[in-house]
Amino acid sequence: MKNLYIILISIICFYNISLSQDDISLISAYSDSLNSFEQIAYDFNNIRLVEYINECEEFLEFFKKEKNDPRLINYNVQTRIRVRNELMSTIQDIAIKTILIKEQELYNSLVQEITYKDLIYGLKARSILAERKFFEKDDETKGTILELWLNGYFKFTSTKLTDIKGPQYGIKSWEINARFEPIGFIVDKDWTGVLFSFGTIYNLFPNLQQKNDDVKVKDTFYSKHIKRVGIKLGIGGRFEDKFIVNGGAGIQVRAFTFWSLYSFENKKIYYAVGINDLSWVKFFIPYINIGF
Amino acid sequence: MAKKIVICAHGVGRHRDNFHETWAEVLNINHNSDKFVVKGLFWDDLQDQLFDKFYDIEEKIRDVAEETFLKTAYKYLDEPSYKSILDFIQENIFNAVSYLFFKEFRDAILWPKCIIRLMEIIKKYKSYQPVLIGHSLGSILLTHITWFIRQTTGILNYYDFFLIGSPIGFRSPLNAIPDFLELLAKIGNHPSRMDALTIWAQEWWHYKRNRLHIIINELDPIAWNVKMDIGSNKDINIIPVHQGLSDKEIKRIEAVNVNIIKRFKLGSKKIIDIFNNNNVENYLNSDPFKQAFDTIL
Repeated sequence: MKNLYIILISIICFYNISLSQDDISLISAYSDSLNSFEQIAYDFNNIRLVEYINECEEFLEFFKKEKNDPRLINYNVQTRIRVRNELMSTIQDIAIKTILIKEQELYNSLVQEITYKDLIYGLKARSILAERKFFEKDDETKGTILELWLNGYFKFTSTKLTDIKGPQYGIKSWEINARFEPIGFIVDKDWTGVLFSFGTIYNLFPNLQQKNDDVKVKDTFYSKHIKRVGIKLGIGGRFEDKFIVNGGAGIQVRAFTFWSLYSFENKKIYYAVGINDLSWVKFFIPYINIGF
Repeated sequence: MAKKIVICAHGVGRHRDNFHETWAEVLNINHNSDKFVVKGLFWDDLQDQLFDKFYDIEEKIRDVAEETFLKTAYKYLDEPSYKSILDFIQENIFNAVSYLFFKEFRDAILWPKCIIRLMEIIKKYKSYQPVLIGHSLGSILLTHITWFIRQTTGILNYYDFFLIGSPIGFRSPLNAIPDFLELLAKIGNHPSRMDALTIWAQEWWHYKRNRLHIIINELDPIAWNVKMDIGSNKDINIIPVHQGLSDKEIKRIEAVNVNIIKRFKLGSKKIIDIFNNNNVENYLNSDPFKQAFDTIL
């Protein structure tokens, strides 16, 4: 087995320039520790230990071939942790425990830098998408507790914690909105109102790429100009001499929702525009005849 | 022995990004300051971002506190004591509730950003050995993010970890809100809070002995089930939830990680002062902490 590792390491040295001298020494040290492990496992006839060594060897093989593969970050980690914990809890022999601790230290040195790099990249990418989803302009109106809770409650909207790989790094495109939204009625003298709107929004995310230690954001046409689309239901009203109740449905594109609302008092359908980012109002003021 | 980089995580309440300087002052007085550098894992700004957007959280939590926690307390307390507790809850407890209740904030923003901040400190001080100290909710945050790193990469590579004034044993009274140990169980795919607690303590023991410390002031109502002096004949625990670890849980983790729990008693039992017992300086100046910290240098 030891010879096999030496041959493998030599091949890697020759063909794979991505492995540094430090990596090679660590791989060699880690291989040696696994070899001594193997001997002990056979001597003690310990099946669990053999199972653990197999997991470690499998990992090492993958590491040597695919050091830059993002799958490395949690390659058989869960199985290794589980088997290792079982071993550490059941084995009384100090020699075996010492070797297991040594194996962990070698493992840490071997993979720490690479896996930390991938982990940080994955989490940075997740943060960028989360910022876009929850805190970007065009979604400026205040959210509600209900909305925040619902987004965490439903699987189709909530972040998958353990998924730190692309393209979305655990962040879901879908989002639930449940909030108050100011609206303006089109072609109507009593034109302002407010709705409580509830609906689902689909976020159009940019593409993300790893660049050295950082994340490079590459916007598409949709992620830059459309950003989010969705459908909503709303109930609320408009301010005439009194508050007139309206309800209906709307389609949101970016910060704007186009509402079709039925007035329960006038028994008429009105059209309105809702807005999620009040800074857009400044943009439109020069083009309209009403003052804000 | 290599120098240590001591990474502190603050708890609930208002903090600035240089909060660790206060911690450093105390640590430098009590210990050999040539052997360590203190840096802070600041995360109050992330909570602010949440509260700015979801404005009604603070008010709602105050209302809920009045309707639940403080319903029992109201009959025992005079007006100033009642108000001071209510203010404490509004300023502090809602951080903890939002941590537990808003999964999306936690998984998508708080944890990822805190892991990045933690990693960046460790990377910057690459030749130093990392020592973690978490106070109050900060201890929970560090527990969760280091466990997440462990479960994702297989690496548990910190020299020491101190949980001071930690509500880790808090037991949620509502099914809709998980408690801190249930979250630990979710991160590690463990079947229950007891399993999570045991495996977590056990893995630390397997990794390095005597390197995980839960330090508890038995008069700290955030970390322990304290009976308070409310002016009547009998001391009463007015908080109707378990904040501290139960006897069963303590027994279980001490079986797998010897001497993990270190206790002391410091402070007043009077209700108006009792929340000061969670003060970080009390913990850093306590004998159990000082003794444990000295062993790492």
